[in-house]
Amino acid sequence: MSMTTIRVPKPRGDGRAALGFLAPSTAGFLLFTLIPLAGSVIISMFAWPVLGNREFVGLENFTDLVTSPIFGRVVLNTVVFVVLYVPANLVVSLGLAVWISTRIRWRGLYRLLFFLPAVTPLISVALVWRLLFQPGGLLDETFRGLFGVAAPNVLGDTRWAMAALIVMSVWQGFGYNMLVFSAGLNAIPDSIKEAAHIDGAGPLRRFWSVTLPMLSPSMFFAMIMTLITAFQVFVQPYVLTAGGPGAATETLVLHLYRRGFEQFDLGVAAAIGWILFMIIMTVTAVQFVGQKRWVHYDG
Amino acid sequence: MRPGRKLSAAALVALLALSSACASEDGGVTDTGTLRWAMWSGSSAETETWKRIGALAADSGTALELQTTSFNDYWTKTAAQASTGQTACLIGVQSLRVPLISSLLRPLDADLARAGIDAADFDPSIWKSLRVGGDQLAVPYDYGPQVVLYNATRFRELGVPLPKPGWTVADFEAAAKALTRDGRWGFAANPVIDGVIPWSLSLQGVNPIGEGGKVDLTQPGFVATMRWYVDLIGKQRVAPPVQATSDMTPGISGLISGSVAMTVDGPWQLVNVMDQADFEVGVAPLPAGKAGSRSQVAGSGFGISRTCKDPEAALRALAAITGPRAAKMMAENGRAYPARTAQQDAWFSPELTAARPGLQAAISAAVPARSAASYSTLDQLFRQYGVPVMNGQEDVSGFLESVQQQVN
Amino acid sequence: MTAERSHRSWRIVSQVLLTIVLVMFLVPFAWMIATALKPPDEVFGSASPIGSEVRWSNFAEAWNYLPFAKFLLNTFTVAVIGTVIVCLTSLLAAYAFARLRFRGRGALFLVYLATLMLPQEVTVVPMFILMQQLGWVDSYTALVLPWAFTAFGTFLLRQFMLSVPRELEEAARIDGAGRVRILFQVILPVARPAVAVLAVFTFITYWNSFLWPLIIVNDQNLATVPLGLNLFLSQQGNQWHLLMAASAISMVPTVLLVILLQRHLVRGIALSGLGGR
Repeated sequence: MSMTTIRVPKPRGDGRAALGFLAPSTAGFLLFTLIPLAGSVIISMFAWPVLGNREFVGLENFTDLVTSPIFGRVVLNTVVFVVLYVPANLVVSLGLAVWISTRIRWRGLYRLLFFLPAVTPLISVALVWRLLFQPGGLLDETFRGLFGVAAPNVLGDTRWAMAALIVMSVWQGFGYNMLVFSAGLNAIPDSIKEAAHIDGAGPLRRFWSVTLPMLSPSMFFAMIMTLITAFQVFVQPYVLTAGGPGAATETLVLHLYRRGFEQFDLGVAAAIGWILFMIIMTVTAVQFVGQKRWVHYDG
Repeated sequence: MRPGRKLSAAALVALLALSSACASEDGGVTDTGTLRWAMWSGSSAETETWKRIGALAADSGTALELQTTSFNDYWTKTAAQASTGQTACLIGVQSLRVPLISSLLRPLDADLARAGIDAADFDPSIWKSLRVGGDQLAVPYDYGPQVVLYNATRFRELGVPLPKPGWTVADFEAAAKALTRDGRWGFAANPVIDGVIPWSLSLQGVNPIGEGGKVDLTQPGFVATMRWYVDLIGKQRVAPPVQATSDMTPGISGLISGSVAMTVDGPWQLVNVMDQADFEVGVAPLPAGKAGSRSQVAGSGFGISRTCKDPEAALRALAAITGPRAAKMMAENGRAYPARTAQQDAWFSPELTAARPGLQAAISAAVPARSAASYSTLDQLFRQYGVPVMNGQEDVSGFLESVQQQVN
Repeated sequence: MTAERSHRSWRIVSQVLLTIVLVMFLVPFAWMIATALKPPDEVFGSASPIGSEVRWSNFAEAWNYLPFAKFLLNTFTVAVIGTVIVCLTSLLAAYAFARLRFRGRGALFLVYLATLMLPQEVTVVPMFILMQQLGWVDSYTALVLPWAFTAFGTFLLRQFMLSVPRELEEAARIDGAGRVRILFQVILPVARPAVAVLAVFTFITYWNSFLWPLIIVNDQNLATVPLGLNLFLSQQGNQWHLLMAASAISMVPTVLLVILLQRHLVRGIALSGLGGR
């Protein structure tokens, strides 16, 4: 991103001091990021049970995964989640950020309350939603009260379970992006807003041609981070549906957890991790290439 | 510059100290010579009971350090610990899941007599169900048949006759129907294999798990049972639609919350239900079907790990925690219906006396539960892929075929 | 005049609408608290938030049912130690990258940058095996250390330090201050907002972390709060009234933290570019 700010290092310099300052961070970084990263490539090429002998299998873990119908379903589920969750998250967070930034009293309070789910342990959030969705829970009882019929069995129906997962995730997850957008909105100079006002632009027009372009760097950032975290979705299906009904909500990381730490096939789990990483890298790269079309860094 | 170097040195020393502080393989014995004991537990109260039982071993000269996780996590956690050489000396094991961890357990046959443990003191069916490949791998502490647990208060409220030994599947269906009203349901039908097998035994006389642990889900008798079971939700409408859940005992949860009036589970659940529910709990044997009132007996015990550094001390401890005093204590606490026949009466405390006829009828009609190496997978597949089947979104036979393919 | 008045009434409408949205948004939290106060057999089957009695004792019961105080203490220990390590190592490394000249700086920083978007799941399996090899399974060390050296903190603080004018430092140098003193006495006070943001989000991340503790902790005595909730869930018979009480307790620390720091939140995010997590 900001590689331009790095100056060309001169050979003379503060080498020894730098060693001291960097040692703790770099040692940890080496041990806990780089070595495991290399290790995961190696492990993914082994049949690596938790007990018993490990055996080199080359790319078999990958080919087994790619050809298995369940894994195809798992990837599809994850993609469906990402494709629906990310735009929903961005629209809600942007909408609320803009709304709150208009002349609303007690803005800080509104922001704080909308932000609460984002700092609540995900497992607590998932538990409450499970309670809401359960037959006889709030959703069901409200349906009975209003329409006299039971609500759809959201967590037991293959058609509804994913939707439930997404709704809950958006509710929980948009807070951070809302704050990012709020920060972006605060940073728009008043002079620009006023200039547009004086030009006679209506509110919608001002939003489209002033606010949105000015926010585009924040949006780009929010989009990248949301995409990455969306691909990593785990706790929500783990608690809400346990991947079910059937395989309707089994996501990549949930599958990784099951294969690695319930069935103890660590090689396959490492392979799933790499596939996830490759998907994320590809999508992120595409975003970076595509950003030129719509992200305006000039102020 | 000096401070910089000092910092880096400090960091290195800290890292080294941390990495050397580890004792990797301890043979299940702590630094102080205490034996580690791994067991599942669902609550502080349950853990307390185990601690008191553990104190009995301390009296006999072997101190134990108890480690607990939930039943659900226990099996994966035990394997994970084994992989790091951290297996405890004493390991809890459930009869249906012995094959899962049999490689960790030490055969006990040669040692039992020396420890004063006599098979004749135990219920024979549970004693046998802890054998794998001709080796006794664990000594049982409790057992029990699957029974119908019911909300007696709800039965009375609606004027439905209470289930009693000798009742039939027709009685059951009628009761379930009468109990289904005002948003509450008669029965909890969940895709849990433990809960389906007793119905299969009673209705059709078939066990989907064969003699040698071979799974056969597609035999006509079991398919017919599953269809009847699914129809409880879709056709008879006496059980609520099910949901995908990580809850291991959705039937018990439904019973406690009052949303269902009957469920099938083991007597080891009774105390939890009585503790948590605000109604009177009843116990009845499975209703009689074509094949009579049949159930299966499962139970749990303790074994010694192969890697235990001090097997003699472990053996003494094992004798203490499965001994008569321990059995009596567990029974009185209501944690377990003892595997030791002489201590069984202690279980029927005043609150549980009403359960006696139901439980004894169920025991007399029960067969030992069969286990299979793939039991855990079977259980998980049933829970996950059974949900759309129970709700009528997917076909019973297709489901059973696909599970069948994955477990054999 | 009328334009202004319509403007004002529009504002009131907007405020009212936003409040309605907020109230609907908060329903799950309200339901959490409401359920936490209900008798167990009234959890299902009613849309009424108030049961036949308000049972505050549910909170005490939830607290005692599992060793919840222990879970809180575990999580607190892990989160605090983790946060301190992250802030300290990031601060030192960031200073080196922002201010010191040494060979390989560009290359090393590039390596840091490259792992910025690395998902935890890629390294979770080797990390588990590493913990096995080091004998750290079931330890606070395993809960804290593996995730205490992320590139993120270094990157964040470096970006901030680059915007600190060098003149500040020069003055201290002339006075004869060493590098470490400069970092802690000159730069740190200026960089405090960025460090605060890093600290808050690191703390929250540790507090809410679930996948890693689930994998690495076998011993209930080491369980963190989210893991404790999972234990609660997976044990016999779901007691939703207690689960909700426990959930409500679990969110207190992070919510308090956010309330205390709410003024700085938006500013901190603006300045750090944090988000989406």
